[in-house]
Amino acid sequence: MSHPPDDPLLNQLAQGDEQALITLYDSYAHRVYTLALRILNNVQSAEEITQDVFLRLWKHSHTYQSARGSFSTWLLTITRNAALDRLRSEQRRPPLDEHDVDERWEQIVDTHSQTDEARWRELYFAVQALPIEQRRVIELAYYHGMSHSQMAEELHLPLGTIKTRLRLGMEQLRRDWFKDEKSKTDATNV
Amino acid sequence: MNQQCPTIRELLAAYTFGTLESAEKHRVESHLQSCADCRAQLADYQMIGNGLAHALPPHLPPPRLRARLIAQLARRETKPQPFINWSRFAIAFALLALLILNASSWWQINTLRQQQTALEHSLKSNQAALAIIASPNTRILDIRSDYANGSLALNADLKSGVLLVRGLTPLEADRVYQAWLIKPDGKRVSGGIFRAEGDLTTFVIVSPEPLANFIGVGITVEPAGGSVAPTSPRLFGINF
Repeated sequence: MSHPPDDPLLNQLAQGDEQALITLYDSYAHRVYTLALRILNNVQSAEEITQDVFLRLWKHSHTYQSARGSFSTWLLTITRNAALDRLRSEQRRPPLDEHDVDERWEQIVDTHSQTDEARWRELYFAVQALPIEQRRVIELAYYHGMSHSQMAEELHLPLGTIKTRLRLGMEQLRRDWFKDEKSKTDATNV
Repeated sequence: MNQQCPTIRELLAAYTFGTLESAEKHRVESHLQSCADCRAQLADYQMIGNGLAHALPPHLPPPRLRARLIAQLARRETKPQPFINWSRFAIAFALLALLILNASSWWQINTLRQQQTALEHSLKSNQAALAIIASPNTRILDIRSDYANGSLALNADLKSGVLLVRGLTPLEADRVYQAWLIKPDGKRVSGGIFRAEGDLTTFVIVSPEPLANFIGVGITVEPAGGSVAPTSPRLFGINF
C-alpha cells in the first residue's frame, strides 16, 4: 500500500492535475535523483533520468497498483530500470570508486516518516559495514545491473566466487538489518 | 530445505536484482514453486533490494530541474489521452470520410482552377478591350435592340472590336452566344463565342480579315463550342 497522503495525490494525478505531479516531485525528486546519480555517476544524465521518470509518472500513473508495493518503491524501480537502460545504451561503466560513509545523511529531513528514514539509514550503514568484497558485488549487481558473469569478468574472479560473495553479503544484511525487523512494519510501506 | 536449496540460494540475490541469466532464472522460479524456505528468503531479499533503492545519502536535484519539468508540462498542456482501440468498422468509416474529404478537396481545387482560368481570360479580354477603346482610331457604335443595349468599339488597325452589352440573358450551360462578321455577299465568318457576364458583358471580336471586308456583325445563340455557320435567328446586330 502507498503512503496514505499520496493516495489522493495519485487520484488527482490520474485526473490530469499538474499540481499533484509537482507535489509528488517535491516529495520524491530527491530519491529519484539520488538513485539515478548513484547508478549513472553523472549529474546531467541523472537530471535527464529524473525528468523522464516524472514525465512517465505523468503519463502512466494509472499503472501503479498499491497492492503490489509502496509508491516510492514503484517509482524507484522505474528509476533504476531507466538509469540501467541509459547505462547500457551508453556502453559505459561508472568507476568502481570507494564510497566513504556519507555524513550528509545526518542532514536528512524526511517529510514522511522519521522511522522509515531511520530504517534506510540503518540499511545504508549495514551495507557500508560489509566486507569490501561482499559490498562491491552487491553494489555492482544492484546499482550497475551486472550479471554474475559480467562481475566475474570485471573483477577477474571465478563465477563461483562471485555467487558466494553475493550470497554471503545478502545474508549478512539480512541478519544485521532484520535483527529488529520482524517486530517492525513492512519496510516498503513508505 | 532440500538438496537444491544451496544452489538456488547462490542465485537468489541476482534473481531479486533482475540480473540473472534466462536459464538460471527459470531454474530458480521452478524451485520457488515447491520450496517455502527459499520463498521466505526471497521475500527478505526483495525487502533488501527495495531498501537499496532508498538507502542512499540524498542528493538534492538542482532547482532548474523542477522548473524544466513545469515547462514541459506547460508545453504538453493536457495529459495524453489513452490509446483508442478503433474497430475495423471505425477505421473503414474514417477512411471513407477521408476519401470523401479528398474528393471534395479535389472538386474545390478544380473549381478554383476553372475560376482562375476564367478570371485570367476575363483579365486578358478586358486588357484587350481597354487597348482597343483607348486607341485613337477606334469607332464607337451604339447597339439598340429589344434584346440588349450597349456599344461596339471597332478598330480597323487592330482588326478587332469590343462588344459591350448590358442586360444579356445568361444561357444554359450547353449554349453560348456567337458573334458573326457579315460580308457584303451575306456570308458569315465567326468572330468568336462568349457568355453573359453579369450586368455588363465584354467580348473582344477578333476578325480573321481586315474589318473593311465586313459590313456588320450579328449575334446568335449556338450550341456550346460554337457553330461553323449560324444555326439560329440573329438576336441583334450592328451595321458598320
